[in-house]
Amino acid sequence: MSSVALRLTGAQKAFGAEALFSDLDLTLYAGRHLCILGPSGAGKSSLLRCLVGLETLDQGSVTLGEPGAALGLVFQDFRLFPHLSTIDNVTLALRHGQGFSVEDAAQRGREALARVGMAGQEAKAPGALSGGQRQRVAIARALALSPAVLLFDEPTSALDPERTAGLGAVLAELASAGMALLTVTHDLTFARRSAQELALLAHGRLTAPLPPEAFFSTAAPEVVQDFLSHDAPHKEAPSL
Amino acid sequence: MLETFFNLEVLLRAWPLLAEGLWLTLKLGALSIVLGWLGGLALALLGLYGPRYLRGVVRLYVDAFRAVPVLVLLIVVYYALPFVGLSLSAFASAVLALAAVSSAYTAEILRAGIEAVPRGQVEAGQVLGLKFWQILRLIVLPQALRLVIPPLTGNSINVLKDTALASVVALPDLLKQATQAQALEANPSPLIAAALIYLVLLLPLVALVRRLEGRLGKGL
Repeated sequence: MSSVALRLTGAQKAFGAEALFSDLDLTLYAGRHLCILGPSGAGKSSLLRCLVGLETLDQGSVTLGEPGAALGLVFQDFRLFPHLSTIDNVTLALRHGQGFSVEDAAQRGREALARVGMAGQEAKAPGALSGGQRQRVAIARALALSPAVLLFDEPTSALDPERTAGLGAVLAELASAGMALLTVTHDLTFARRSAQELALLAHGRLTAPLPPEAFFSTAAPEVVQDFLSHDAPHKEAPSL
Repeated sequence: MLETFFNLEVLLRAWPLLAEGLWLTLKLGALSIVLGWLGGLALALLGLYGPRYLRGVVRLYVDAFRAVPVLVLLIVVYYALPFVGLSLSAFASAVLALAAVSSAYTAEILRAGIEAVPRGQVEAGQVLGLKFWQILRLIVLPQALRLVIPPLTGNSINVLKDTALASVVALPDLLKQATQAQALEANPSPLIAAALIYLVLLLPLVALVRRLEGRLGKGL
């Protein structure tokens, strides 16, 4: 059994009077990729934002497997810094947040870019990159801080099927290197192909994680089968 | 005609006066512009991120100093403040009045620029573990400044033009020297020369703003 990278217990978040989710438990393991599915507005993005501290939980706590471990988040819209080159995007936090020297930061930044297949693009401005390339730079920017946990918000929303496959390969490499991955997505096909476990966030509850075969079978909880048949009717039953 | 409005002999004699005046105008303009930038930046940051009561004070300052005519402010500073024991030189009064007004406009321009930077940029910095001031300095301000270079330059042009108002408090700037030379020579050539100097000084800046605005428009 791999080690716990992050544990969320008893999490509750409300917007105004309406509870987004409550009594939510979630555990992420090193080297494993969990994918959370759910209808729009179910609170998937809010959950990620709570985990990285952009929003505060009303109740509950986040504990990291290793105290002081870093958490990375790749936004749906990437949010690269448009005034900085690719390498400066990746090294900004290393230099100014972590106190790395310019050379050490650049070295680490180049390694992070190479890891996502973006070697040689260091000097380019984000505006000169394609959507898929921007996402890779955003991943490299998070990777540069050596996070124990990497979170992705709707990572396939801007990608065509070919690039989605490329992203899957990058995620598989990160997981095999021991990183804990959590993606939230609408994309059933992507979830089925790239995650080891799937869970559904709907009606304020998170189902227990299941392997893809179980999640897409009649053994899945009723709420999951409901979601798969009603809430995502436009998606064909994804094939492996 | 040429004899009256562009008398070379008169101009030659008046040139040292005009040059002195030009130098003072440039010093006054540069100092007021830089102080206006610094004051404007401080006001913009206080207005956006300061404690609530200070934000109200900043709002009041910015609105008041954009409403009051520079000439009125200058005369108040120079002629009225001595009554409360604050006697400033003509140069200091002019710098104070020009910078006070310019900082109000600059604050408004910078506020708009900072607010135009998407909120997501700040969040991206937060997720990377950067502190508030680092996010401001490394992420928000560089992007905001790029957006506001044209209006900021435009405002600086206005400050440079308004330096001519300092002649009413007997500051020997370009305009004042020109009017004095005119009186001395009983010939308007020095005034025409002063007008041309202002034009030569400011026309390139106006053209620059036009170009910057065009480029930014295309970039968006």
